Amino acid sequence: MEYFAACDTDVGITKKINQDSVCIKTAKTNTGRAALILVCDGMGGLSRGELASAEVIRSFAHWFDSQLPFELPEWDWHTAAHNVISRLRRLNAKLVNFGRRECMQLGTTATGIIAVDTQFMTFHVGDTRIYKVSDKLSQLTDDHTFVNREVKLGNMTPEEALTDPRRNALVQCIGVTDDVFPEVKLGDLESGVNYMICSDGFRHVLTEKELFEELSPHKTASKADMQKQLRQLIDTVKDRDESDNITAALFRAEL
Amino acid sequence: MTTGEILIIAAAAAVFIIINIIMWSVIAKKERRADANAAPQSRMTEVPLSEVSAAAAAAGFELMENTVIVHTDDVISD
Repeated sequence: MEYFAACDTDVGITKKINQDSVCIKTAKTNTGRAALILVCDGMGGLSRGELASAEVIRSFAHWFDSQLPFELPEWDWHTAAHNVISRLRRLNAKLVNFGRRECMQLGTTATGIIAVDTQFMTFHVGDTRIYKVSDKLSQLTDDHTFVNREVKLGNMTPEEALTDPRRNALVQCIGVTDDVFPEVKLGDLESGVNYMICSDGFRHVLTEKELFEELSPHKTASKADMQKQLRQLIDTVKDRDESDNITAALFRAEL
Repeated sequence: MTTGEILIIAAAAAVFIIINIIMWSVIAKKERRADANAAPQSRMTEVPLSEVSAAAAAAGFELMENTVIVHTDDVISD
């Protein structure tokens, strides 16, 4: 069993600060492999978004290094899911309290994958997305945006959502409201299939066809190939005048 | 100076101004993109923020890939 992972991030062509944070960790364990892939998009309209995203990334990175090794012998996915939700809620409370104390508003999305051996869990708050790239491109997460909610309620068509001025408004993120309801899903890893996590700045100006073609497993055979393809897409995004920060991470298991 | 001559001068001035606006917009856009491409990422920290403890290593846990990218050194204390 082998895990491959790569990530890249860029401040973009407009903003002065990159508010996104990203983490990729893989480890060899007694039973096989473990991985944490996480992308956090600090809120553009909010002050100190980079601090919010960094706090979430550091918390999960610390958990991976210091607690996961001792959780693995009795690993249980339902307990793990419960712990991830608790961690996200604690981080939310920490950011909300900090914001109130400092009279500022800071927030971040948090979307990640935890893999242990042949299984994985996705966790998600916000509009950062997870895609599965196999023989087709599928979106594994649901955007926690106002327009997506309206489309689901039948109050708006998908076409209207694309141009609605509120299309970037989030109904959930870490650090803004008193409670969050993270979306957590469990699944079996598929061998040779890529899982991609990206901020909205990465995907806004790319088509699904481009994402599928450039990030397909046959174009990303090695870590170096993954890195090259991510950088190439980030450069394309910048050439197309995307104004946001740009971040993406790629993960694949060879079972 | 006849009305026709005045109109020609006014038209030439308008064309000159429009060409200048377009030219400087294109130059500004190119410079902005060049700056963005050349500028280093501000305050980027790409380091192993924490390392696996000796106890974890003894339990057979070995980090293979360890990339953590954040863009601030500030932390929020508990």
